[in-house]
Amino acid sequence: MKQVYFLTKTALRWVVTGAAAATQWVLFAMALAIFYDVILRYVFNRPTVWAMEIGEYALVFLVLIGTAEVQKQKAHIRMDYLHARFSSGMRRYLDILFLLLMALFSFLLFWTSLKMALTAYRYGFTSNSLLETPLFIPYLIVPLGICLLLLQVVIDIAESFKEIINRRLMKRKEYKRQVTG
Amino acid sequence: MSTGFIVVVCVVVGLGLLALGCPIFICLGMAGVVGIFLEGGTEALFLLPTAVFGAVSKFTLVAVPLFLLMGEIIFRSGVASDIFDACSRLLHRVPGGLAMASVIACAVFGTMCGVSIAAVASIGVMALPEMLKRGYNPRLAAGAVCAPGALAMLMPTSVLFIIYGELARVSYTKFSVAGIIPVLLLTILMCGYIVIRVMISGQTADRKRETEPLTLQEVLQIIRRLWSPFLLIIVVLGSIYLGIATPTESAAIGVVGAYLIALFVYRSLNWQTFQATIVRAARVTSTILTILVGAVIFTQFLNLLRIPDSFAHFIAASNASPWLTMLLIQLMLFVLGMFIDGASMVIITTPILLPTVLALNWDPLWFGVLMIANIEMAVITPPVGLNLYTLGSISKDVNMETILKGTMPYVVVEIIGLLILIAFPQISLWLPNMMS
Repeated sequence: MKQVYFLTKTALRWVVTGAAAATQWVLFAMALAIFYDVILRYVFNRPTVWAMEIGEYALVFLVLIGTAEVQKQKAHIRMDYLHARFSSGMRRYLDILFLLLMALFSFLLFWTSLKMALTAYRYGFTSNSLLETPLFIPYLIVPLGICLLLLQVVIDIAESFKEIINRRLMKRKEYKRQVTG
Repeated sequence: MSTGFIVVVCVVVGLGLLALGCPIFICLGMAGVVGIFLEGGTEALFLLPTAVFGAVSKFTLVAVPLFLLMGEIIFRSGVASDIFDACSRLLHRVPGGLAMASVIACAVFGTMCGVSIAAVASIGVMALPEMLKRGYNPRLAAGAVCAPGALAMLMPTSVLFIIYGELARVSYTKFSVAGIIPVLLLTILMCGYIVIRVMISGQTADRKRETEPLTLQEVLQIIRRLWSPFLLIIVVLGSIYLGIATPTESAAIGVVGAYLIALFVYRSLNWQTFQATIVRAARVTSTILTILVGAVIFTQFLNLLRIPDSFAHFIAASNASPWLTMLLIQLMLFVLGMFIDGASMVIITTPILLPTVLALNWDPLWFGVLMIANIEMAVITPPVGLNLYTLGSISKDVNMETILKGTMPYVVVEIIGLLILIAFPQISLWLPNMMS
């Protein structure tokens, strides 16, 4: 059981880190693509038909695929004025509450956005442009990214509980040592 | 269930979570989801992803990661030290010149990089030790770095401008230049404060000036070192202003230009710094725009119940003086800014306040400048003032108390600046209106 958990955790860490690396290269490619489009438009008067639209999808990728990494780094913006003043125990329980809410939120968004992508696939929706992108492809970025976030949050929750249990065990051991000693 | 009850439940849930330190996008997202569920049932929830996708996949917003990336490259290129060097040499015969050089360098660097804490960190790391070495009052020195760093936020390359422009549905091309004259105004006010402060201060070190005049050779040297970043910023801003390229396209030009400058002029770009730039820019983009995802959901809920509109009608019908309303809104933003960062503030408050702004016939461009000028104070007011902590973390020579006491006068300076901007909308609107 322990081993399965450890393997899952390591695998997920790799996936999230890999996804984050992908977002960085997507960002770089996006900058180059738009620059290329500018040059074609203003120098050769022949703009690409794809740069703008792909740029928009790339932004969705950047934001939603990257959000799991932000969670892994505990870097989501929050107002921590009060939070920093609570006792460490209180903070730990609050953080678990926030993680549970985040899990619920991600689950809802995952479920509904997956349905959006599937609907777009079933009815063959395409984008309203020259490119006529099958919309289910960019739509799929949303559930994919949110799914990563959800998995990361689940791991975070498991880690938090593990920490609390370990702390309890330590305290009990210490208590026993004091009693017997 | 009555509308009022739903609103109260959701706002209480959202604010409660926010105060306790829950990540902002979850506070907004959960409050929105609960509200939409109570009002429209499960069916309504399935409309959310389309709204989220629509809000994020905007070509204007693509400028956010691009300008962030450009800022990161400029930040790591070493341009900052040259800019400060040039400013201090140009001003070295003026009393308090070094402090003013720091203010002006922050404003100039801010134009290139658009990130407030980057300006504080890169100018502060040179300006502060230099001022202390020359015997400046530590408070004066700390303040002259911490407060002007925020000027970056009013520049066209600032992310706050892009986000406000998108959310307020104003033309970002026009809006982006609206902050330039207000920045000049604030820079002059800050320099004015330094002059007064230095004149009445008992410390002669602050007033001491160098005697040797600036030589032509020195000027040429400054030009030789700084022509490329200045050319870059002229190309980026010029192409936006003249309508040659959209802001997103200009940002892409800026990214490529900044890489070229870092690579060939400053020779500071290696594989490691290159990776660091894309890593940082990608992560910050995701961090900021994830809040937008939450905010879109929250705004959907508010619009479902027509709350911003009702609020606007209420304000318009109350016959309160528009000036009083403006002052109250600014006061509210000021208090909110003490606790929350700038990007989150723009994302949360713009959709709520916009109908009111329109109902009172205020120009949304003008209001945007005022909101962001207000956020300038947010980053230097405790308890959550990013610039204060940034300076604190890069400097061992001054403690938090000195930084705080040195920076507080600038809050007054900025309040004066804000009041001037409120009284004379033309300061913010002249440049955008000049554009065809």
